[in-house]
Amino acid sequence: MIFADLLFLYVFLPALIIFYILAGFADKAVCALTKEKGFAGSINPAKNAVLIIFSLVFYAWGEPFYIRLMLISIAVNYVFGLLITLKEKPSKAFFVLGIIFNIAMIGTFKYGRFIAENLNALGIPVPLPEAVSPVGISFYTFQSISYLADVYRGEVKAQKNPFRVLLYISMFPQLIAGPIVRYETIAEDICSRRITVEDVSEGAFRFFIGLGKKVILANQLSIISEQFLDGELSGLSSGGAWLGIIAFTFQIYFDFSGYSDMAIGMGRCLGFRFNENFNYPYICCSITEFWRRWHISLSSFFRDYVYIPMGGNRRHQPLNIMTVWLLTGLWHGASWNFVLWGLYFGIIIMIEKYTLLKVENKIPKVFLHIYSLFLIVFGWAIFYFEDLGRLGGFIKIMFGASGNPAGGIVAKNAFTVNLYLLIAAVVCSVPLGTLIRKFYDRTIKTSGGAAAMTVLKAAASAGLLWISTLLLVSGTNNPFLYFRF
Amino acid sequence: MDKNSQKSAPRYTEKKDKSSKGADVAYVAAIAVIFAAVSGAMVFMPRSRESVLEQRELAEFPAYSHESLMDGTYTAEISHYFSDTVPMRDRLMEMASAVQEFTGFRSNDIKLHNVTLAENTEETSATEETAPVTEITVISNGAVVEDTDNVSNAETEVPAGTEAPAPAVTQETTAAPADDAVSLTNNGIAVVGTRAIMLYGGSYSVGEDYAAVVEKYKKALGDDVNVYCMVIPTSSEFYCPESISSYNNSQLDNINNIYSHLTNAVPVDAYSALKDHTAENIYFRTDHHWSSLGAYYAAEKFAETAGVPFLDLSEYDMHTVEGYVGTMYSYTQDITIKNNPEDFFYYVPKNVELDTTYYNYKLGDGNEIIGMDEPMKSTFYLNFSNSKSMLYCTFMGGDAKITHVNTSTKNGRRLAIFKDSYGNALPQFLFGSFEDIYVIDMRYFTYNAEDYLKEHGITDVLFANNAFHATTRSTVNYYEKLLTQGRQPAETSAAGTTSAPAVTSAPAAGSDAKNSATSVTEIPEQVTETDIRKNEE
Repeated sequence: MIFADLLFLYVFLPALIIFYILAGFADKAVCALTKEKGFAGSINPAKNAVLIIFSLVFYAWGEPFYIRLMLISIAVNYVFGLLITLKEKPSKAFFVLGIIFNIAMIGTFKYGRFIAENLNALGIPVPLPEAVSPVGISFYTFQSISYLADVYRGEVKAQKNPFRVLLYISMFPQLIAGPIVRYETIAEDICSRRITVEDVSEGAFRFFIGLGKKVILANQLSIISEQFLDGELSGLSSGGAWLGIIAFTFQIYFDFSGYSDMAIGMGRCLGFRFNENFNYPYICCSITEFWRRWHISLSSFFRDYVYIPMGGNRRHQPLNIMTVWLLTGLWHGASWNFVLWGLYFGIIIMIEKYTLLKVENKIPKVFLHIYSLFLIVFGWAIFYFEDLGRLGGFIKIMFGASGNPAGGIVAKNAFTVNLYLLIAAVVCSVPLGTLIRKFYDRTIKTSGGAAAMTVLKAAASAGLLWISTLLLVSGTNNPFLYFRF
Repeated sequence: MDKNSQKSAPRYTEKKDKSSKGADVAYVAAIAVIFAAVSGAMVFMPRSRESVLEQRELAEFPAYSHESLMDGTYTAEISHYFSDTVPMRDRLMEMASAVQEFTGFRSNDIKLHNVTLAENTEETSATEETAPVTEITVISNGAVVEDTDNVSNAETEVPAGTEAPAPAVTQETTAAPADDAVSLTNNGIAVVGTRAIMLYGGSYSVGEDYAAVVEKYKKALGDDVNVYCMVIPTSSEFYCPESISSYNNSQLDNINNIYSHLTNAVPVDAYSALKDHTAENIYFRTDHHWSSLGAYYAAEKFAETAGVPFLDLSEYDMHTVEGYVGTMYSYTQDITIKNNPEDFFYYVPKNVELDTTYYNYKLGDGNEIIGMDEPMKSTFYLNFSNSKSMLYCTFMGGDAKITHVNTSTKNGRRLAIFKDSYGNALPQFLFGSFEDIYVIDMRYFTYNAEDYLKEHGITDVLFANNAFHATTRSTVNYYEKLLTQGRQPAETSAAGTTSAPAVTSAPAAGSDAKNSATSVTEIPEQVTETDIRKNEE
């Protein structure tokens, strides 16, 4: 199941809300009872049970066969968590074994075919496995790795209750498209959480914002990008190539950050606080900064579990940087263009470290923005074309080296009929929301402001929900970019 | 939250918390009501069964099987069912089209839908096709037009060595009988003002093969039968603005090329007949077909070429149905089309008696022929004023059938028309010109064409295809097949045993014999709307 889907919005979600509220009453009753008898209990087993069941249904809906793989993975990681902390001193052997298990699993099911293809290309005949790549495997495997690492480092205690590990890994808001939540972040929430009306208000609003980003912006932008990037390159004009890749630049941002917003919003409504995953990445002044703002949960994962353990900036830093970026690229997909894409950013970041970052303050910001955005957009071209031959052809067209025309009526027409959409995309990429937020927080304190702001907020939510619903009805055009990761 | 900050500004925090808590409660209550209302409507309101707009039946709830559950198709189909059969689907789609209009503005009043990227160079129309015949069912905006008789994108020149474009490309199976998901040489759709035009991408080489297969019919039928070839230009030839003409090949060049390859078959110059009247309503703006008026001018030219009498327009009663929005809206979902409906009109001869017999084909889910109904008498014109998007089915109710019209004109001339849906508008103007007219759709015909024509004593054969079909590979394949099919066991026995049900011996399905042509009756019971929807081109 995906979030931007009518069945999810209008069947799954209402059902979950009803059962979750009922479970809340059950938990309260149990709590009151146990308190009377002298137990200190602020746990919520009924809510957790509802959440686990709905999460498993959510996952099985899209991946009815490979749900068993996820369940095995969770069981194994649960056991390893316990084994690592069996003795007073954490067991390095079990930790390493656990990591090997996770890497072997993702290696087999996500990269098996890619590895076999390349071995065959090198002349080593191995049978080609089917390309399966179970939904969300990159996310839940990484969460498992972070869990084992945090347990091994003693940052969290191993969870003795298997259902809580199950809930941590399989919780549906973050299950298939992140953010990559660390166990530490929600360990307390899992055991005992209180949901305030503020949580629900903030979370629901965040959800509608995310829904709008995904359905209204990303899905509509995908019509442009598909038109110009999926067709025949022979007739593509330079203008069309740029329009297509710029549309994709916005599309992937709104798609992914919209999904994160929905995840964070739903998590908040359910009583969990996930960390932010995006922070207006396209306003960055350098590529280094871009990656501090883009998919934060992934970059911080690699920082904390690969870069720093390898030695960070103390030992062979260039090697550490390139390793991290090779892995980042590969994480996005089992294909050479993703490797190339990762290394591309690794090299830029390395160069920036010794040049740009030292003189950043002396350069007017506008140049820094242009510089960063150019490299980002170009990066998305590498990201988009899995076929390296097509990528080469596309780059030639972008820079007018193909002999294709510069403009053309089709590109012009697509530009004008989508102009307001593109403007909206630009506006929503800058921290306008932060300004509105400040205004909101200030106004709501005034006497009449609270009512006005509430009406506005509710109207905006209803509008986003309604327009998204209309577009979901009309569009079978609902591609989900991060599914394959 | 933390005590220090509360201590430093206790009153301030207090007030904020209180008023914002009230606001939060109010907001949560408001959206809870809204969300519950929409959810309730989505779940409990009656589900849509069919889409008039898209001209298709909507998805059905999937049948359960263990395999489909385990491979994920069962749940995927439930999701699809839920969004496909959303209550008031057509109305919501229309609202969505209106919303999508806000994404930008139309410069020069033009909006292009799925126009192919390959701009035609001056030689494009003469280049060889290198592409396999592909059939793309994703049309404009990614809307998948399923099961309807697609006018799909296809046969754009794909340079060798590049991969075929990704979206839903399926290899056309020309072997499948009467696969009516016809691939057209379509470059996309341009909405110019309030007119939608399908841009033309035909190529010479197929046109030459088309001429060759027409010649094959002439050769098989011999000197006693006249064979005519009328390639009908479509609206893009006359209404395409200069600014996008590079995406629109010349139909005239292609038609002339086809005609230049005819040796014994006689070309019918419908092109100049239409060109003289482009200021009139000869094409629909909201549909990919021509109008009855366009068909009139072409039929006049044909009658002149064939040397048969021809009734002037004043000999007809004109019938008009207002509010017609044709296929172009469902293909483009362009709200401009929806907001500018037009009149559908047709002509019924005043003084000609018609006796119309239908031999309807039963179609399976994939529009393949699975059988044939008993012959059925009805009227040539059917009433579609209640399902206005399908008004073009007024003529014979669609394509999947053989239609025989016996007229009160007695001149010994018996005409067979091999056609696509453009041909459906022609017979109305030929009832005063021929004694018998057999209307045969190239996609729905299970007899051997040569045998059938000879058995029925046909004197004149007209090939009436629009320029898209005349330069589409599958058209040539259909006609080739009609000549060779039904000949398997022994050619000698063809005459009697494999014969079509003759009109005279037809069981009296509708024995009320001669319906007056001037009265338009309801759709006969046997022709369900579903059949018609499937059949309509």
